[in-house]
Amino acid sequence: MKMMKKLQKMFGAYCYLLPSLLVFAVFLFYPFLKTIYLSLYKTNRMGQAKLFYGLGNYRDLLTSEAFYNSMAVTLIFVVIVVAGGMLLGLAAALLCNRAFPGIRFFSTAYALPMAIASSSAALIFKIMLHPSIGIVNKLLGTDINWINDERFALVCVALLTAWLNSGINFLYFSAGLSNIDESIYERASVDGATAVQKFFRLTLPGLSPILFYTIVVNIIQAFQAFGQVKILTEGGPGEATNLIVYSIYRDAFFNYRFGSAAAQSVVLFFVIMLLTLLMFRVEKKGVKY
Amino acid sequence: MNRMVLKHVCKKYENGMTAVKDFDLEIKEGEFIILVGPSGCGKSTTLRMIAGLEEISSGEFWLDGNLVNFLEPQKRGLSMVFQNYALYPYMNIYDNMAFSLQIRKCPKAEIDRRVRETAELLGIVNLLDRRPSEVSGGQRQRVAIGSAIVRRPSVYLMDEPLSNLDAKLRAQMRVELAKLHKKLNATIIYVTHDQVEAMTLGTRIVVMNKGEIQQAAPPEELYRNPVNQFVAGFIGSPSMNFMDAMVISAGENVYMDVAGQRIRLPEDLSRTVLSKGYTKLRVGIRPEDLEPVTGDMAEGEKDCLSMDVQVRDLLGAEVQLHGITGRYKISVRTDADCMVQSGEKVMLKINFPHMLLFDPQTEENIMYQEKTEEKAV
Amino acid sequence: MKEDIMTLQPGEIEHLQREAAARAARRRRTQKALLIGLNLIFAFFLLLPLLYALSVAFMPSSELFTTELNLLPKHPTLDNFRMAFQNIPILRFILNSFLMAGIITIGQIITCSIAAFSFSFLDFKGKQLIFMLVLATMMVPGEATILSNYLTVSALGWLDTYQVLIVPYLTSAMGIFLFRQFYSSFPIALYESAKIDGCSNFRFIFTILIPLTKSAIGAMAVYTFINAWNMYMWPLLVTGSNEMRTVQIGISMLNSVDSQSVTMMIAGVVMIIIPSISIFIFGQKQLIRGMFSGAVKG
Repeated sequence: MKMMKKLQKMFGAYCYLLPSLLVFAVFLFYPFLKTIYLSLYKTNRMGQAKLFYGLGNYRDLLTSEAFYNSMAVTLIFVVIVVAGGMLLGLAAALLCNRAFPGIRFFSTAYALPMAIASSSAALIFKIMLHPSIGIVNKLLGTDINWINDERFALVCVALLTAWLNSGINFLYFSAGLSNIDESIYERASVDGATAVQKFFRLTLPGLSPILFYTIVVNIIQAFQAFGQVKILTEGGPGEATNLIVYSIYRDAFFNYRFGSAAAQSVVLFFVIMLLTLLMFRVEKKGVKY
Repeated sequence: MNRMVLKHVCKKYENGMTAVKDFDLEIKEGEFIILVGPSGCGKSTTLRMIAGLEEISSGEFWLDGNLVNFLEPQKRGLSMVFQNYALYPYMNIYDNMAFSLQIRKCPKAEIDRRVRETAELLGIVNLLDRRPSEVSGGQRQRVAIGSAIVRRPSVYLMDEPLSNLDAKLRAQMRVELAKLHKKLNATIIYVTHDQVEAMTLGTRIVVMNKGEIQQAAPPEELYRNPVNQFVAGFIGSPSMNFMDAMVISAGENVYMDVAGQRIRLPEDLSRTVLSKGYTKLRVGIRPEDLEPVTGDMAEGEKDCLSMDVQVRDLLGAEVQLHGITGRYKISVRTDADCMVQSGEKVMLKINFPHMLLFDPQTEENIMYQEKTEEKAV
Repeated sequence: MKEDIMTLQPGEIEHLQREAAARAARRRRTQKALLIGLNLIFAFFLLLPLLYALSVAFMPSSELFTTELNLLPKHPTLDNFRMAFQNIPILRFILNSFLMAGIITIGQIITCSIAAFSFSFLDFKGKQLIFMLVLATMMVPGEATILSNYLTVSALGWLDTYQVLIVPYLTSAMGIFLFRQFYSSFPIALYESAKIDGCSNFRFIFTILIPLTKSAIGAMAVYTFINAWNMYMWPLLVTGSNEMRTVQIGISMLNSVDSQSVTMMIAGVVMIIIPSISIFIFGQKQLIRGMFSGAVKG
């Protein structure tokens, strides 16, 4: 009888987890394993595994120039997105660090990009970057075909992504700044430090824990960029903006090479996993003072 | 020379609140000035105005003969120890102490020499490569002081630097601060709400209340010659006993009716009271100026207060008696060999030379002697 | 100013003081003005894409297609919005998106709170392991499993339905983590005393726990809704008909249809941005408080 009750209790506990675990099982664990499985096969147009290929898909990837290009493009993209997005967020956070009339309006404005969809933003940027009617060319007095020029296309997509990320970065940095004890600035003032010295000796080190966290979050987000590429450049011109997620999409849904796309997905997974583990570790160690 | 003069310094906030009113003080080189008062009396605000962290609303602040009201804190050349120590959390102790020299582009060798010298002085050499979070409160406190003295400024500002320490450490650091003051021969302006700290450290104590200076005087004088009831009650522990009294003059003698007991005033006091025509007084007697008289002697004793003892606290060398006379709660401090127990009645002999009389309306000390202030300065 | 103070005449002191005060006041004023000015410039720069979109949405097509600098519409018009309503089923898209984002949000809040409840208040075998498993899902980017998921739902015959948009997103590891973080600050006695009073687990969750975690729920609702509203890749893959498209897909279908409809497309973009921005502004405070209360500490 007691046993029954205990079992029942335990069963109850699982019941509350069931909805979540079911969704995870069907749409996360299963497809995750299936992706690994697919990456070891050659597939037909329906995405069914037809021929065991071993590590062949990975070998093909590692010997294909397109994959290296895609990785290289992704890396450059990540660097620009992280640097740009963090700079924008940091600048905004610093501008809103001291109270002044209108600070509420400005801090909402700086956080706003986090509410914008990548696809909507891409549509707006497409008009802004249009060679003949775009506002960018008109303002800069240039005549550049931004998104159809190999030199600029990747930078444009990256800057768009940096802009999208700047909102959340602003929030992270604002939180980081407000965690710095005000009295150390006062002491530095009395000690004779200038504003610039205070920034480099106190503010930046004070932000370092959140800085690291923000960098990793930004890298992870950048690796997952898709909508902006699809709408703005479709991977082009040539392969200039063929970021890894777009490359997966194209291989699977245009070239029907599900095996290759699955292999790339696995690579993407490992990259993100390593980054996430790194983040958890640092967070756990919690650069505490 | 490092003379500071504050003239009519006021601090008014935008919401109309006045934190400091008409602060007038001249500070000479080498003084250990204590700003003391209950919380919210404006002592910290005054210190922060001197440091340049708060703006002076009106009045003048002269430093070395320059009007520095609007000088940035960076350019005042002062040094400050904060209540929470304000150590830079992401620098080790060495860099914390070296910071003010580093930003002045002091040569590395010189910085190293000075930091080590200061660390030695404070006994924190073995902590230099630790982070502030890795050392104890007392050690942090030393680091904060070390960071302030490493630059060898001539003026130190300290905002309740000992308030975060436990009692034992506080006593120990107090001694060390006093030593340090002698060694550095610098001017120190020190804020505290602890009157023991004030009495033991200061060469001159500035008692503040509600934003105003009550009295600025050396410790002994403040103790024996307070300007008003507030100062008298604030300084000393346990606090001075206050009782209201009626003045009764009978021929040549002047008596006070205190808590239903008639006490004859000594001649000099009578004269003062009579000349100013007081009919009501407030008597102030420090606990150690009441001496229990026991045995047969007590019977014949006149001009004594009788007290019903409620609590007897033995504090090692001394005994504190707390009890009631009339409607007043009073305390007595005496030798440990006084055997009076709680529940007993005891006669208390008043040490008249140290007794103080206050005007009950203005709370001013009737016996306040101006001239001693001049003597002290 | 090196003279000794005693040699200064009272008038001189006042003069000096006035001068210094005026200088300081001026400096403070310019500092404040500078700060506001910099903020204005920076905010304008950051919001430029949005402001420009707003401007173009009110521009007649002919005005956009010039080589002149055209920051603001000379003859503002609502034609673009009207055309958007006429030519594309934008109301249908908005309805779809609201339905999808709304159900996902409510669903996530329910599944995440009950899962977090189980993790914080109940004891069962394998609790640690299952929790680790849930945390581990944070490491799997949706993009890495999207193609297998696509194969799954197409095998289930779910393509182009509502459930395909909603079901895969009915829980989130981050949500479970956030709620568990919140619950862990409640004493276990809260649960035990409710149990003694004869409160069932379900009642405990809905009458005690959820009201106590309003701020976390608020933060999560804002975050989830905006993310669902802005979802692009998954709806792109699994919807095919106009009846099922969400706003992001529907509007981007207008991309490069024909150049004359550019202003109409931007008007559509403005219309679909407005809901997410409004929800963001409305829930910003909650979002920030929830974001930094548990999971992330700087």
